[in-house]
Amino acid sequence: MKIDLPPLICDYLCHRALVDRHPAYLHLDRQGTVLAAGGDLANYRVEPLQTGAPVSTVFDFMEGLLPLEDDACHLECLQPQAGACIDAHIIPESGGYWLLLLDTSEEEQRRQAMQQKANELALLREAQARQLSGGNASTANVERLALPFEAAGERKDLAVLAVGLRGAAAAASTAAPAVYLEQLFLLRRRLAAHFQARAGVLYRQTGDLLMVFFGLLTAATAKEEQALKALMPILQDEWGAAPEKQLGAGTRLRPALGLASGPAIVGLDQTPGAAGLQAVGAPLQAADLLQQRAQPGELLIDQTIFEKAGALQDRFDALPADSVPGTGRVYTYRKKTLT
Amino acid sequence: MIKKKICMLGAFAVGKTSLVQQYVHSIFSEKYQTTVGVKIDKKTLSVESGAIDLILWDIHGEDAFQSVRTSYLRGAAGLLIVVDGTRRATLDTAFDLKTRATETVGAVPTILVFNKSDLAADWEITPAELAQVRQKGAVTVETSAKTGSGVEETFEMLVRAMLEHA
Repeated sequence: MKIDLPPLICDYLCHRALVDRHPAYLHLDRQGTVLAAGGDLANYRVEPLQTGAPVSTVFDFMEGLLPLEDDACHLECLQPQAGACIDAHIIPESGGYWLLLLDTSEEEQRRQAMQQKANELALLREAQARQLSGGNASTANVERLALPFEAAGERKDLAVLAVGLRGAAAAASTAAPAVYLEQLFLLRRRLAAHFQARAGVLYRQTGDLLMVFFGLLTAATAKEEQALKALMPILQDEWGAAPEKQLGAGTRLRPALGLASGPAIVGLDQTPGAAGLQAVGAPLQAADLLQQRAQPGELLIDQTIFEKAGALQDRFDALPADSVPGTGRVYTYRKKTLT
Repeated sequence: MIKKKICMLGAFAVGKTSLVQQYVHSIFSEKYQTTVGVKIDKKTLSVESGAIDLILWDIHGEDAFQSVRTSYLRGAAGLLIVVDGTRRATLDTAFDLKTRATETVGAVPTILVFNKSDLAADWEITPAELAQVRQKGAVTVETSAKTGSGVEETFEMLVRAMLEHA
């Protein structure tokens, strides 16, 4: 591709792309010995550089990286103990390598500032979710965290996820009680932590049922998308460990999932001794109805969630009308099939 | 001198940088400073066979916006995968990272580091869960980057395992 640009523009682009980034290079043999070097090495505090030395004595970060077996290797934003933040490119050639160094200190500072804000927000959200979850939300502890809704009551659009742990009821009559409860609580804790880390608030957990709200806490994406994204690792069996636990006699706990969206009234019950998050509304009922109808490992969603599913719509199939009375049109998530 | 590359992995804000700062410089800061890219530090350790240079790759935390690049792991001789005991979800991230790291560097010595033992009362991860992780064969330790508890021992344990593995 040929691009015609005026010399001034070329010079400007060259300056922005190269000179401002203090390029330097080292030419290495197959064993990683420095054969030659050039460019703005002083910016990386390696001047004067002796040829004949192993590159890992010049840059600690090169330890263990050679030999490269495949294509060029790009190591982004390396911060040595002293000196600039480096983008390192290792480019193989017959007989050796070129190590290209670019200064990305300015970019690192910009990214660090943004990442810091994002992580602080995520930590605050996790703390809010923990405070609101499990029925221990008092006005005192949530006010500390600047809760994003009125404690006295507010109507909020929520995506409500209901989780039924299938197999729990059957196992209750056969499993050793202590083992049963240990496994049940473990799975519930894991599910709750998984959703809380993804802007979900655990509203209720009783026995083999959980209910989680999305949309109550500030998040970067819409509540429906947030909920679906949180569910994907579970639906695709890519969760750190499958949400199934052996309870003896081959009984396993598997989640059946219902997800519905709509307005609900939320607030805090401030009765002494019973303080906690309270919510009432159609999406709570709908989500519960959907999870009751869902098979183990299945996700059923309502029309509103489907409409907001974006690219994920392709992964859902519509069920016949009135499949789940009282919930409108219902869609089921179609799992990936291996071909 | 022998050099060994150690990679620190884990979710964001679990204390990876604090562990390195405590181990290398004996300092701790309460202020959370997120890491972008990789901070590279070095510590020389005396072992029976002489001295060993540990090249510590403190890799940015895994979160919704930045996923750990496997190119960072190339050449690692050992892994410390850090979990925040007060945040249950960081254990799932640790399992996920362990799987991906093993696919990249193979079965190098790895320790699951349960950090923030100074906040034991606030831990979401229970002793039963810890026991279950150990039963699955993982090597686990509990540390506090704040007090220094278990930090030096963790790195020394990993170094011993790396030297035996080599």
